[in-house]
Amino acid sequence: MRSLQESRQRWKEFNAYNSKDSLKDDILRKQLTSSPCDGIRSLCWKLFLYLPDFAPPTWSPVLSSSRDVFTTLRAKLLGPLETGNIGIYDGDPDHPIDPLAEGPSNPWSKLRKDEELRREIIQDLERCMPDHDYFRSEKVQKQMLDVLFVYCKLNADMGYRQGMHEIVAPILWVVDNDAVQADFEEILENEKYMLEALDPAYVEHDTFSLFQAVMHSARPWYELGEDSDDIGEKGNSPIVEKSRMIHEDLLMAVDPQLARHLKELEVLPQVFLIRWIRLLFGREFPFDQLLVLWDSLFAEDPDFTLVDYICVAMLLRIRWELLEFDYSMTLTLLLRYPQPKHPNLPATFVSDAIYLRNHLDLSGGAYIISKYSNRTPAPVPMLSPAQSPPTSPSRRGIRSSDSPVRRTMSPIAGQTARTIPSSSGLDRLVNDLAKGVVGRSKGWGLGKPIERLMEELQWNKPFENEK
Amino acid sequence: MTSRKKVLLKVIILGDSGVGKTSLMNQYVNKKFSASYKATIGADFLTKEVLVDDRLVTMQLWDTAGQERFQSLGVAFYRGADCCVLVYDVNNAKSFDMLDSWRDEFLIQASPNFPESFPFVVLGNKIDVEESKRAISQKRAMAFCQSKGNIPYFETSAKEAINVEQAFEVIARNALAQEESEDFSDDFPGTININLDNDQSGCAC
Repeated sequence: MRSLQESRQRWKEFNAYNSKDSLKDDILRKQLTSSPCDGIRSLCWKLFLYLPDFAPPTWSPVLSSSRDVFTTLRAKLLGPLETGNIGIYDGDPDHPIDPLAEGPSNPWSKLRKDEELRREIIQDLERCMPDHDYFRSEKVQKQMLDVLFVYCKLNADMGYRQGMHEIVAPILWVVDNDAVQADFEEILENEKYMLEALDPAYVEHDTFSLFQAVMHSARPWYELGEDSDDIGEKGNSPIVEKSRMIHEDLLMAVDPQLARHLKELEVLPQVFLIRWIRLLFGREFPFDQLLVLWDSLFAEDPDFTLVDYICVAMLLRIRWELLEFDYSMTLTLLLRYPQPKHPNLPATFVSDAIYLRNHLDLSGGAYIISKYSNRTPAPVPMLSPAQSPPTSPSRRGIRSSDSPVRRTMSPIAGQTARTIPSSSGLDRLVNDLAKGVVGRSKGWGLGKPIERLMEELQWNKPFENEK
Repeated sequence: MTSRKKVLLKVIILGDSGVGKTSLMNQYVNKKFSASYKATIGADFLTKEVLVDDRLVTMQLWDTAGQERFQSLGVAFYRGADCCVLVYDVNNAKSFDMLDSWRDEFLIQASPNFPESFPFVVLGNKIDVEESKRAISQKRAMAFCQSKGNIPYFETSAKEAINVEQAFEVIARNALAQEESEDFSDDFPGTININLDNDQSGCAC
């Protein structure tokens, strides 16, 4: 929690920006020093992830409806556990149910399932960020538990997956830390916007909204791929497919020597990328530096396609070591990524990633490699476009489709003009729920879980009054 | 085989979330215990060089996330394993009940040449916890291991370093035997002997 005094200065500085883009540009420009989000990060993340507009007067309705959604979900989903009133599960008091009966319709067995889910989550929360005192507090663990529980119930087809807890943790820390206590103090007219966005009464609510917005993009990385259309060749899960793509397409395009070296060592990319990606690099870097990396990532690309390029940038930064190492040393290095030193702190991977996204070719790779090592990779004779057509298989037996194609006019370049969607997932979800329109939320991949939830909970009732 | 080439043994540690896989591996490799290991995400990796009958071998120990089902790491991850360590918590009956499906699924994914003789080792961890919390008796665990082709069984405490060294010695030995049998597998299909000296297997507590 911050004092009004403290946040007032930050808010003043914040008001110097006039658009999300101007804030984003400054975040990316200041990566080497401090982030403009410091002290007001909770608000910045909300702006990038679910507040549709930069203008403060537009925030209030989105904030209050997102908070209402959580309040309602929380009451519906947590009520039975907290009150022991299982009638909430089944609205028919005239037909008592045998608590020992098996089957999905028995509210008691639902209650037992819920308790099992909570135990599973608690097991990870107890060992979440062990070096960080904040997360040892019972109150904090309960807040994380409730946020995760509500999310997992909403996404019952996936449930709780390990790693989600370490996405929630930094979010809660930021929202809680940046909340502003301003009781009985005189405030300036436009400070009310800041105070509403950083209201300490809604720490858990806002954590949920941010978590849900992050998971909107991150969810596929947690999916197992069973019974799903996302299963790639050989029945791989989406994260294994993504890892393969990062290695064989992206890295191969910018540094074929490293990509082939890892392949020859038989290093499976998912072995280290699962953790890098699922936790959004949370275990790879110190906590404070991670937050600054997230500032840049959320500002630049709330859909997180940039994550793939961040992984490539991280590989390029240690490529000379990797090329020298044997299998064991390579894996040890990849699973214990060296701590970046000033001035090349973790946020610089985001700038590198943006560069690579726009220059997905050998020269783009060479530029990033030499930027940090003053060494340029040796030319790759077999794959130089002047010497061999890009479709010919390499002598090392790598499939021709893996060969990088030199893209002088990369289609990726078009992505530089990407802007943040005008209406975020959460916003749309809020609207849809409020209107009782389930169908439209399907576009956000939330259709199914919400439909199911509504069936289970006779959902539409709480919103009838609001119409 | 007379060559003394460098031997690499791939060992995969499986079991439910929270049974102590990471702790066991760290106790064995680093001789350290911490009550605050984070949940493993995906997989982790440590190596250790050991002498098995005067042969220097490098063990590549793969710690896996307990919640991970096999699709997440992909089939290739399990291929070429020389030994699979199945861990459960003696105070948690469910983690014991799951051993069978961990074993079955491993055999499907790793598809070793001779699944019936592939070396497993079962570890019942957390025996330092007070006796009243105990859910699975040693007798029951040993009966299970016997029924699955005499899998060596150890009761361990990663916290108090009980039986960890002994268990991994057997793991190394059986992994080496597996590695060598694979080299010979064309000539001598499925003949490795996983029976051990009685005083090494079983519980020393």
